[in-house]
Amino acid sequence: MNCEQVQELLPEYADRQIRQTLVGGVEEHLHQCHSCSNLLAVYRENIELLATFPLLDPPADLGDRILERTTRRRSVLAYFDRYFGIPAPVYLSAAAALLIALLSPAFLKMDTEPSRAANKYLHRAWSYSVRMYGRAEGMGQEIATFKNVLMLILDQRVDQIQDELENYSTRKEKSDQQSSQRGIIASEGSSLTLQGARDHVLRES
Amino acid sequence: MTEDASNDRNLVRRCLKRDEDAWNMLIRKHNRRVYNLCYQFCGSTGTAEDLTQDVFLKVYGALDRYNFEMEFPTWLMAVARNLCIDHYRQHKREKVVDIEDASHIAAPQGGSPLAQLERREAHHRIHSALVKVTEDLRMAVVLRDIQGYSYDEISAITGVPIGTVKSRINRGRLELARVLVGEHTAVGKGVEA
Repeated sequence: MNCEQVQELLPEYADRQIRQTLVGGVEEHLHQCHSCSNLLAVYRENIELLATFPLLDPPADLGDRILERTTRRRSVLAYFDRYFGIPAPVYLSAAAALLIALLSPAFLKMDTEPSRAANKYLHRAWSYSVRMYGRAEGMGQEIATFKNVLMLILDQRVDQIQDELENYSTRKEKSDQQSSQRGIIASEGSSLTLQGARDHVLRES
Repeated sequence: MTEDASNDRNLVRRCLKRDEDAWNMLIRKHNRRVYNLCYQFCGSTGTAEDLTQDVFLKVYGALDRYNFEMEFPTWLMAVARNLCIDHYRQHKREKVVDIEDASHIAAPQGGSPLAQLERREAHHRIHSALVKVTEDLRMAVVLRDIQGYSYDEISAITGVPIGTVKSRINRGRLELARVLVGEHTAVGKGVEA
């Protein structure tokens, strides 16, 4: 047997799990080979050392830290559970049902104080959403150009990238001019309506 | 079923009913075991603390999926084992693992002060070599030779057949011995040179 074969058998030999027919060959090699017999000695010593490996005490506050981290996550949800005995799914479902009822057309048409309040807040929310959409639309141009250029870069179409960027510059200039026109109209304190402003811009251009 | 295992299952049932005291009791009962597994595997007390917290955080989030036919400590150690190996794989390219000085570890009881010091140094040396062993083999050696789990338990923790467990333990022990012998030889050569 050579060193490689014997070393593969060492764990079984050390545990006395090795086949009897192989014991002679392994022991003969171990008598002659210092490196393999040394490996066996270290192997056996390791098992004894590992079995007496000291256990550490965790830091005294580790348990508190774990408790704090785990219970903090659900503290808001657990509030109702702890103080009112209502599990989270129950009150979340109830809140969802209430919201649906408040937004239902039948409720909003009623001539009651809660219906009027719900209508008022619904209108406010709608106006806010429209304003936000308007702002987002202003950025739409940049986003669309960025997306187109990215797709062209992926396709490695350099000429079309240049065209796309030139188109963007033209669109941007036009858009800036229109914005400045609107600004002039606003600064003049004009009481033009939106339609009037559009007509004004068209006439000017 | 042992009384201890039954007690753990009752605590888990109470946790599922949002009983914070039961969860606190489970943490106090098992955090030392998890912390030591993490430390023995990664060789750093700081990382062991972070990993122990992550283990309990993960277990807490998955309590409703706990299989009551499995022993709670086995499940806990399976989660710990997975997180330790994931953490090692994510960070092994970032830095060379360096075992902390063993001076903070309590000396083994019994024997002369010199014998205790030698034993402590031997533990430090073997731990330094252990963290150089391949992760799956290292985990098998830690679970068997340090933590003292049976083959069946290691099979449940690691999710591999018993034959594979035995093979990993044998290969891990052999790799550990080779690391130590190689280091010893290298030191010897350095002295000779």
